[in-house]
Amino acid sequence: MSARFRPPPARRLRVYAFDPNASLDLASAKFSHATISLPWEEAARRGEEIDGKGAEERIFPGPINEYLEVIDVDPSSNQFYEPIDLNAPEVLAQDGLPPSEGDPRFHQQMVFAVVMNTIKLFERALGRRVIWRPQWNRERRTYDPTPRLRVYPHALREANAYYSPQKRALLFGYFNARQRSAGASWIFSALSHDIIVHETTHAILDGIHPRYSEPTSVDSLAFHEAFADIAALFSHFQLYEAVYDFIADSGGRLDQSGLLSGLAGQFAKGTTGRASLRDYIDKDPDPDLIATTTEAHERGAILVAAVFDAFLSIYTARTEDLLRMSGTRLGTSQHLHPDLVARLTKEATRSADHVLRMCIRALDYLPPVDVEFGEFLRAVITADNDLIPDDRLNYRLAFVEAFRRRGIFPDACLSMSPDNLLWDEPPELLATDDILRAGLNLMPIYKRHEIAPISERNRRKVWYWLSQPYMTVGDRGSRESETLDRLLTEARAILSADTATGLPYAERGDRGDDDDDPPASAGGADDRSAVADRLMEGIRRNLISLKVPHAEIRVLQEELRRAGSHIDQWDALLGFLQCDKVPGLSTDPTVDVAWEDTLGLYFQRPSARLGRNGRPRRGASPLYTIEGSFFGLKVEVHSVRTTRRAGPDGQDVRQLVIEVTQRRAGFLDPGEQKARDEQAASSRSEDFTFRGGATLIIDLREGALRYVIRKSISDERRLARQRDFLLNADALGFTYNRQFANEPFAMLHRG
Amino acid sequence: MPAPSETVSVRMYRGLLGDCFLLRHQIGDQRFHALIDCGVLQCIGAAGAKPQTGKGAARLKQAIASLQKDTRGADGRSRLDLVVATHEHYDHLSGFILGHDAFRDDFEFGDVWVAWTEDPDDDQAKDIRARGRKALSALKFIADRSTAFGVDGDAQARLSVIRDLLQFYDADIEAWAPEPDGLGAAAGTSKPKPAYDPARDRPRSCANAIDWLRHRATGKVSYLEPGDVVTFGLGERLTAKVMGPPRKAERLLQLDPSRDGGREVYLLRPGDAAPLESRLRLGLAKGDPGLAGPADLPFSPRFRRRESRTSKHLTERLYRAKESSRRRIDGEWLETAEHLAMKIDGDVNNTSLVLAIETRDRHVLLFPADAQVGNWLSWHDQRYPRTASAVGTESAADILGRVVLYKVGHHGSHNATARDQGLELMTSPHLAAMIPVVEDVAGEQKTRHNPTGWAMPFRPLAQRLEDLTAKRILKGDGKRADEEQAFANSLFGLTYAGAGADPLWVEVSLPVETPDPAHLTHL
Repeated sequence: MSARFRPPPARRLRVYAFDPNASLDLASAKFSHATISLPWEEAARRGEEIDGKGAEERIFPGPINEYLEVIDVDPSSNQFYEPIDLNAPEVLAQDGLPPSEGDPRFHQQMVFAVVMNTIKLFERALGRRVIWRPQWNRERRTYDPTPRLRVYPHALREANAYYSPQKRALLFGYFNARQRSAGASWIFSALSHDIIVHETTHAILDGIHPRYSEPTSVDSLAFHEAFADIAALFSHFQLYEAVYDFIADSGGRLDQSGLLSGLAGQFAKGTTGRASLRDYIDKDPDPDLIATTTEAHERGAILVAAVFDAFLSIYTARTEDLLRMSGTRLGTSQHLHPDLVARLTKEATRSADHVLRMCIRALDYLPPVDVEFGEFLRAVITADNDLIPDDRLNYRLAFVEAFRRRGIFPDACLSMSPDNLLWDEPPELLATDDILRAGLNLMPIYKRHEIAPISERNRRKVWYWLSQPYMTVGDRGSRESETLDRLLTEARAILSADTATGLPYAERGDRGDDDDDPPASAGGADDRSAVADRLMEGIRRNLISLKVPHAEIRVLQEELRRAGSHIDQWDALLGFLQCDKVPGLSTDPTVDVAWEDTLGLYFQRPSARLGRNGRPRRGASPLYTIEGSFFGLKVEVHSVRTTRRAGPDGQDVRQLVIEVTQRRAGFLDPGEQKARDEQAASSRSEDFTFRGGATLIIDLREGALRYVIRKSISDERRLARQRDFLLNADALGFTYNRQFANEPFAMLHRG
Repeated sequence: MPAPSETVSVRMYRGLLGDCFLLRHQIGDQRFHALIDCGVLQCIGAAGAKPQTGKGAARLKQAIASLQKDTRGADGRSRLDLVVATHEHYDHLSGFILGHDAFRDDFEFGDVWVAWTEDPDDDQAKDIRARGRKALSALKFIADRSTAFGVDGDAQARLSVIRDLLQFYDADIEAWAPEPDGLGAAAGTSKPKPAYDPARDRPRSCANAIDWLRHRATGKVSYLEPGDVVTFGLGERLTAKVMGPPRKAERLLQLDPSRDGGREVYLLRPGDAAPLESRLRLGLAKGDPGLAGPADLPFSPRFRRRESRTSKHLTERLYRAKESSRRRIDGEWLETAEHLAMKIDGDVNNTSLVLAIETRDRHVLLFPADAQVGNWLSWHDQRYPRTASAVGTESAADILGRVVLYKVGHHGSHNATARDQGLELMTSPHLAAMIPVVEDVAGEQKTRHNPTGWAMPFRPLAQRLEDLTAKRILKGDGKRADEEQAFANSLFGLTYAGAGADPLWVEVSLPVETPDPAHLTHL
């Protein structure tokens, strides 16, 4: 028996550094190719099934791995292309196929490598694994995970590329160049590094904040575009040789337009004849421009320019001493010492990396719906402050300054000083220890395929917890109250256990480190009565000790068996408990009210709410536009995720992020809105959906609620703004909405 | 002898999702009749599915009979002193196809006005037409082969969009046919239809209808340019200021609001139909041999793997897996076709002839046909009349400020009334509007993009119009009592055909006040 080899540290794959065009240009030819190192994944064994056990750590021809499935079908040409096997010796031995436009297998390799590299970049900054937008399962009322993002390198014959949220796929187009300067007759968007990063970022962002794809304000879609461009732009600075060359040529300056600051050169030359699709050096920012710019890509460009400006300030600050020591003034000398160029390059690369990480970390600090540019600034500042309290190099100031110069101001902020931009601490002291006792699985999870079912289970547990009223039996802290708490925790665990059945994870329901969760039944979804029986088994003892008569318990069991989904079962249980079936049980609405105020949404009709004096509040609109069931108003828990981040000085931040939202029917006519708000209507029609909600950030070390980032559902000003936005046909408006609702993330919107 | 009175009246034929307007200039008992468009939306598909749309053709024939009666002269023949054909869309010109016999036998036509885009000798116009036809023939080829796409719901929905749009171009478009050598394709190379002869043939298409009108004009045929100022009517007392279609290509091609021409890539540019044609040459379905040349495929044949349903390859199995059928992309290329179709439609709307008709007392009646955003914005690109010096000329804003009657563009859709550069400049307190729309018919035009049918009129626009006109709005399906109430005490007189609840037409009349009424007796 021979000794086994250790697995290699990385799989190396060659790609075009920018796009094929840059490799034709003499000036950029020397750094036109790059090699991407990805974590090693075992080769799939012969005959191994993709959804078999252990297959998620392998790589299949396609390439297909646990994140991606590259499917090279070209419907416009009526054919498939041969998929690349990254483990073929010819591929392994030379760091992947050499860059070539004429071999579709290289296209597959490049798309795969760049998408994976982008994923890894986000994972490092986010402190957790990237997961894709899950699919809502109507029948079972739960989210089914999307294990792999689909990538179609030759999806369209069109000068376009997009991420499709519906298909959960990246679609890359190719086309005949219209302009000769593009240097090729066929241009493939799948060979443009920038376009790949841009579209991948859309997909990652959509996985984190699915509601951002809804056009709710001028900023919401623009933010998506801007963020995708930020990721594409700063990924240029990973290319050491290109940055080195640029710095040597420009005498150390980075504020010159060129290959680094422009996006998608070949694509732009092939379509419009311009040097780049977008260029982000704006020498003379106009603070008033933002007020009049409404097209998504253009408005996004202002945000990108601001971030790029922050990067330039940070680069300048980091290189001041180097330049002083060497007696150089930026941009004056054409001949810097090679050692100095190398040091400057290192600083540029590092600054870019820091700026991009700051932006990515901010994603967890954003509201769940209707994001605005000003909120992004606050998120950047707060996230950075949490991880790196001591801002020695004034990174945060650089951001604030750059945003201020472009007129991007957060609403309702005292001033633009970094400490005023921090998100507010929650206004009232709310106990979150019971969220943490809700039976969440907060263990760090290293295997990606285990994340989706666990986070869906956590999500459901938080939802159950949130939708239950505050109940006690006797006094708070009494033995009966504790029994009730145990009963509810048990019920939540059992009800949430059926997630992700029928998917590749089905047989892994019974994992050892997740003790709360009993094994998922093989039948899964359809077998509600089995779940009902399991639930009864789990809580019967507690019901008995709460002195619930046996006859009533049988009634409950029947009711649970009849319920059609886990939500109905939970409702049935809550209804049972509240209908005087448990002697001495009382509910305390004031606790819910405190949460309502903090989260900016409602669990009960506002008109039914009691004021501090214990009497119903007068003048509160009942908001019939929020859908409600018998026991309360509908609330959605959007996502529950844990992060773990390490700072440069050994800081270790562990957080739980919970996003809660609620929807309200919106009407274009303010009069109709008021009428519908105040009168229960029989029909469920609406002109548009208005959402509110909050992101909760909980510090897991201290178990304390740190921030609540809120967009109130009863914010009439915001509602009016969304209405104006939708009515304004000059902006994105309904024209846009209707036509592009399906594919909002096209690289270029089809005019 | 009292001086005769001068009036200008505009009659809208009701119950049509389409434009049919009769403008009458009257002094004493002398009359001048101008017809501005005559058409109705075609009913595509089973009439049963769109009962309201199906009624359109009969209603239009009634309208033509009424025109015949009300424009009859002493010699017993009906005479239209002027016919304006705004653009080549079925809902504006189908009257000349559906009611051809009546128009041919009983009418006499004076002058004919069309936009410069219809000029057979204008190079720019020829280019626009050729480009449109090329794309249309590719679309027609696809639309004719609905079965080739299987049962994919997405594909069918896309095809129906294409078919709906082709309804505006109809019989005259020949389906794309491949050239045997595989080098590009042109419409009609395989079996060319004979050219349309207006002296002999019935018009089959809107382009034919314009040819036919040109042929029958006893007066002058004018190809109008933006900035032209033309006098007409009795004693040349009416003035038409021509505001569109624009000459500038980027204006012509701008369809939707706020798309900065510099940054966006538009579809319908020269060669835009090329990928589609390439796709057609490759054959539409499996088993279809196709006629592709090497230039149609990006990669060398050795990388190619024919699709097969039994393939063992993992990627293909994943692609065909039933559970993820919604993630497939077979129909995506049809989306290109669909967008091309919408583009063509908008492009033709943008060739609308836009007339601001002015009376001697400086009231303006605005007829923008179906002009879309680029056309509206272009009105501000020139002075009226179009000269180098601004002396003695007017701006579009000056003209819009005097509009008292606005024929609402494109039946009140979202993208055919500019806001800041258009409607908001119509500041006259007398403003009234006419919307040639039938909501029931618009609601029947259900597509994937518009599951509830076309939003005509677009609600926010309708609301703003109500504000600006103090509810003086006449609609093709308006409630007579409401309209009569809104127009009481207005500048206009209001008349309906007969006393019924759904009269065939509604007419507003505008008395022209003139400083020297005695002058009119000498006309």
